[in-house]
Amino acid sequence: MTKVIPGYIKVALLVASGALVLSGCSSAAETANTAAPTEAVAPVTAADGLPENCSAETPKIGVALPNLSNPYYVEMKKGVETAAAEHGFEVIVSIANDDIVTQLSQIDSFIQAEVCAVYLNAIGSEPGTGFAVSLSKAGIPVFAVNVFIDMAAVEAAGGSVVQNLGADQAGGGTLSGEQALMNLGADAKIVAGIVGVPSNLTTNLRDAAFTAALETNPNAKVVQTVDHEVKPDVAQKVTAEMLLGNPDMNVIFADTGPGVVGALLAIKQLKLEDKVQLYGFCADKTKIEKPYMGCVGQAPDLYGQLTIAEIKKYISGTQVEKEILVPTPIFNVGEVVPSNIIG
Amino acid sequence: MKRIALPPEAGVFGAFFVMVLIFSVLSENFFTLTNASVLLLNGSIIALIALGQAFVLLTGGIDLSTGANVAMTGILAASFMSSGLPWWMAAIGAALCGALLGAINGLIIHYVGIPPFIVTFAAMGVASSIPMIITRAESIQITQEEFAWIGQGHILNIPVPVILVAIAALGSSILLKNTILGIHIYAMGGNKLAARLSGISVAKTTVFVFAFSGLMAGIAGVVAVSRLNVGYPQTGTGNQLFYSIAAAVVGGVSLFGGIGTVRGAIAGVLLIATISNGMNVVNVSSYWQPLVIGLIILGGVSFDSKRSGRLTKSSSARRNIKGFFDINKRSSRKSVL
Repeated sequence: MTKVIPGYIKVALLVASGALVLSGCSSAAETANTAAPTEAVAPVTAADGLPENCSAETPKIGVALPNLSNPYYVEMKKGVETAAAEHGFEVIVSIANDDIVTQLSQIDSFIQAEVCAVYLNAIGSEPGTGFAVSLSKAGIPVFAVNVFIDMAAVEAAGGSVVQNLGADQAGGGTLSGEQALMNLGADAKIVAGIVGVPSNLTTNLRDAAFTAALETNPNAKVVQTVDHEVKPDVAQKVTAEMLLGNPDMNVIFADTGPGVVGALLAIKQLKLEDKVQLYGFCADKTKIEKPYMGCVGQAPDLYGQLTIAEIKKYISGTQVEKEILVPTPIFNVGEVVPSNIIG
Repeated sequence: MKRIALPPEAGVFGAFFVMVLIFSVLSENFFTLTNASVLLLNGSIIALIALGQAFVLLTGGIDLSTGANVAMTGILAASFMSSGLPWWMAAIGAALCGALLGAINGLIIHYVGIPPFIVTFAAMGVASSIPMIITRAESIQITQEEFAWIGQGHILNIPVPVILVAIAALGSSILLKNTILGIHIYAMGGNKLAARLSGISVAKTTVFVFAFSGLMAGIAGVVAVSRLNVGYPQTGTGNQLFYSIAAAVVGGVSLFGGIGTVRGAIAGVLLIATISNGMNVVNVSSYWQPLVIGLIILGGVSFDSKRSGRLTKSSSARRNIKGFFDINKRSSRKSVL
């Protein structure tokens, strides 16, 4: 049976998209586990009534990604496609170009196509809830990746999400803070700044965890956060200005790869390599060497592969966890960051 | 008592000095040579784009493709070097590609008759896609170290990008004030139909201003990539376009065409760069920063609208009309561009 998304949900999503645009939240980095933590983590199995397509020789999986302008999703797409070929799935990849309304119509298409399951990396957690409700009401299992969907909210609306899977964002921030304390000393005087994206809930999670970890040292304080818009040129500008405004600053945490690139250039531009240490989420093709003292990374291709494998397990009747938080690997000076690791 | 006539840019220069004073009081770290250097260096990309944008605005047009042009030319420069071209040839080639994009904009605007807003908006999509198509969203490392000189080098302790801006500003100012082409640009912005009737080649002037805007964006793209020493496909797609238009308008270049100077555009850049820099130096929350910049831009554009309204009724408007017919006489004596 073919179902379409009800009009009221479309209106709600349009309003949400307008609000998102107004609040300047269209950045690609919006994507990650931002929903409230789910309480139910019991494994689930496929109940009766999987879509007919799941019994086909090569079941179709609808894959909804926010964009392909961010290398993160390029890697994720590769991971999905590799795993799909391995597990005998056909994938229909839809790219929303960071537009919620586009993603909405893509979800609608998945329902029309009666796919076996949907791999949903929603543009935002709230619209993702609406997508999950529509899909699950159409009988299509939903696997949320990166942007965690509030399972309780979906269930309250009569839908369900099979699984939330993604990187442990807060864990990455914590590891960075601990790494800084380890390098500088547990009671060292630390004046830190964050090169962040304050309008982005995901990076805010990383920043908050970094701050909490760092400030376990009573002599450490985060004094400023600047907005780098996930762009290295902007990061260079705002980091230089932050350093000039805070001559005592000796630690910087950049919460995205492009942020690390720009912050590193700013430190070098001001010739502060001996004074300021940089930590953050790993930058693409950037050596970890002084003043860049370490990074944590994400493996989007791995998340893609894992989720496809979880879908396979689920439709085969095997139990799957309701939530999987994948730890972020940490890298120190001298270590080489593998090419599939992205900040 | 004889009234002293202040130049039209006096207001924005005044605002600039007031902002410098305020930030200097708020933080002892603001009024330093190092910060001045950083401020000018960071403002150089916006300044280059704003100079090109000012030419387009003076004709009554707008160029929305400049930010994407920065991204495109930056990646092209990096790609050219990766393919083996020497750095200087890659830089010139990329900047010329920027000019080509602008020229195509101008040709479509004039010969197809589509408004600049639409054409350059479409060009923005095209130009921002090209880096993605080339790089598949990955960055390109710059392998020729000499290339970094453009964005990171100094001449007599002055950053090279700042010198490039100074040269571009001087050249633009001479072009606008002392050449027939400059007169045609102002005339077109004042009244395009009258300009056409008086024998001014609207086609060539339109293509020129958009090509010039593209060239300036192309140079900005090369400078941006040289500063980063990495070709990143989204460089320049942030607030640069918005700030460059705002800087020109706040500096007195009218959105309605025909009014404005290079000096004003540069003053606008200085004001916006100072506010943007100062707010980070004195630690203003980034949630507030767009609000402050937005209000300043709104004020500048409101002032521009009021001024444009006044000018159509005032004697200065009559002087402009008289001046325009004087231009026609001169134009008719010289070959049309």
